[in-house]
Amino acid sequence: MEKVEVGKMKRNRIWEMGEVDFFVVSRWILILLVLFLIGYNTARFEYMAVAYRIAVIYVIFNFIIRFRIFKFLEEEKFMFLLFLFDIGFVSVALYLSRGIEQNFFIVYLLTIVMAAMSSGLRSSFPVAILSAVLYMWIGYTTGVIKQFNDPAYLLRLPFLFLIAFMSGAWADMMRKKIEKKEKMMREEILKLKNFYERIINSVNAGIIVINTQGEVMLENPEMKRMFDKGIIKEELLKKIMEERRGNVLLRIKDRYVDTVISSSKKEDLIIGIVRDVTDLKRMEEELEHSRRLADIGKMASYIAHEVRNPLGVIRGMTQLIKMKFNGEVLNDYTEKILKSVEMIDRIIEDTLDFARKKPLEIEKVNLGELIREIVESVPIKKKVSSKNASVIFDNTGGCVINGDRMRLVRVFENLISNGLDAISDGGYVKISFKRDESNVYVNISDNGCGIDEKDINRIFEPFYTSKKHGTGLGLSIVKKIVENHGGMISVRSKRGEGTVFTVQLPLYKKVKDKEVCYEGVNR
Amino acid sequence: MKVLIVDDEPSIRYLFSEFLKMKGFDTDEAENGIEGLKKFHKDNYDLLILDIKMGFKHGIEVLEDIRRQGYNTPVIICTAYKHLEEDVRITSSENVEFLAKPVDLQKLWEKVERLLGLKTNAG
Repeated sequence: MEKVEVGKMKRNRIWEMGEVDFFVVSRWILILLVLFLIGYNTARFEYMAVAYRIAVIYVIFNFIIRFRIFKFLEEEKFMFLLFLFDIGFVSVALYLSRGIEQNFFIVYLLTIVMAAMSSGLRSSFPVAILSAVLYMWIGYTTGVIKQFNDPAYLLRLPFLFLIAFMSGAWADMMRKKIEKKEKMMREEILKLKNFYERIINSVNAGIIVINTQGEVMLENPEMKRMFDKGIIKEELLKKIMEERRGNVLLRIKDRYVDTVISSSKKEDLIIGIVRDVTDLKRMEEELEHSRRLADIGKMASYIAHEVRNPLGVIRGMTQLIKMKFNGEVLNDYTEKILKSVEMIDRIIEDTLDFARKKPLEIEKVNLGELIREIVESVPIKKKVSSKNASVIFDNTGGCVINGDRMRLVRVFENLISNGLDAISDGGYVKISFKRDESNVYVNISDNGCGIDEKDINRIFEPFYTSKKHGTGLGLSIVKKIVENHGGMISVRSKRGEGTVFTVQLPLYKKVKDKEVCYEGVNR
Repeated sequence: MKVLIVDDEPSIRYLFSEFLKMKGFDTDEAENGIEGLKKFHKDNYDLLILDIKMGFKHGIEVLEDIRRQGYNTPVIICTAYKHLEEDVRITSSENVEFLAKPVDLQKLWEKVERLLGLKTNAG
């Protein structure tokens, strides 16, 4: 959680919670009383000008306090100076107006109450003491008080202290109450903060709050995790700012995020709730892919039955013609028909193979022997002799693996046959093995025409072919079979120099069940 | 020797019939499993050629029926689904051969020879 600070209410200023107004009002009263005090004693009229000047300064000073122009005036240490000023002001007024002879000492009470309200007993008592001392001193110096033990004045002094005690104690009590309430509120706010933080932190979705300038005000841990996983922050912010509202699926580089965007009531904050749905999206895509394959399967199955019947008739009838009638030209024609029939049949078989979901039948397979059998099989030998080519088979490193024999034959027959198709007369296809602790690597290389750079990334895609008569399914079936065996296939090629296919397969492991876990497609 | 060809495709029946006649066999035809069974019970056949996918009664059902009734007549099963070969073998492994579509007359003849022991006799 960032930039959210709730529950930190520091009370280091004295003017909080409306106290400023209380002081200002009290001091207005103080000014009025003092002016009245001076004015009441007309005998001292000559001092009114001075009194008014002081009052004006006092008023200006109060404005400064009220509108908080100088922040340092709000510091607690300054407060005491303020009270000293007030006491001095009152004392000067009493002195000048000879108000000491009247009952105007009451004005001191106001300063004591103000001090009590501000800082409780610790202010009210010093102010009371100071007021008492000044009061007695003024009385003595003006000759009003003849003796310090004059009961008329001595009776007034305890009254100052009584007011100091009562107002100070009351203010302290109120302050404690307020502080207690404040503490409770702070705890409550903290609890709430923790509660919301827990919710925000445990939500299984990224939460991001930004202001209208696009600055991040809040992001929860899940959101940070998403950024770590590769969602680009700047791009997400940009798209959220653009959308402003609604539920949108955003694509950020190679990832998909489902984002619910809303704005605060004042429209000053934009809130995004983000879910990384990349895996879900990929699953959907895979599901769609599987559906397509299933459709191909159904179609292939339909074709298999519906096309193979008439195809059989074409082949059979051609064979009958060949048997009944002889002749060089006729033989040539019938041979061509039969070859075309074979090609159509191979297309059907490839399509069926690609779409079929039959589990592998795993057995112990000697890979070296299996490839030797393929190399020595009639179709491969036919191709080799037709091109005057050679197949160089190095059985060193050939080993035993867990595999489906028939499907592995399909893999290597296809790769060797492709190599032979790619070479020119007199070319070669070379087969060799490499091994590490857990895998065998079969390299099938040729010195043929090679594969164009633009084609190389697509050769394992279904229905993609650069051959004139290919179905485009051969290599995708090969890849599927290899992956179903827990292996991998890769290709390197250079135009004009040749191609190397590398089939990586896991080495033989003893397994309890006959069928090991190669069923299904590993992606 | 007499062969019963059971297939819902007339051109296939015609092809097999022509070929087998050329090879010196007598042939009879049926266009579905029910008709095939009827004919099978009426006459004596040395060989049955059954298509798997047919209306009314398919090839496997016909094969199971005749085996259940105690007949061990050689049977050639034709199917467009090559991977069904195994299932057919599991159902009845004795005197049964599998012929994948599109049919190849050479392969058909190999299977006929094997089932009827013609190759051994000739050899």
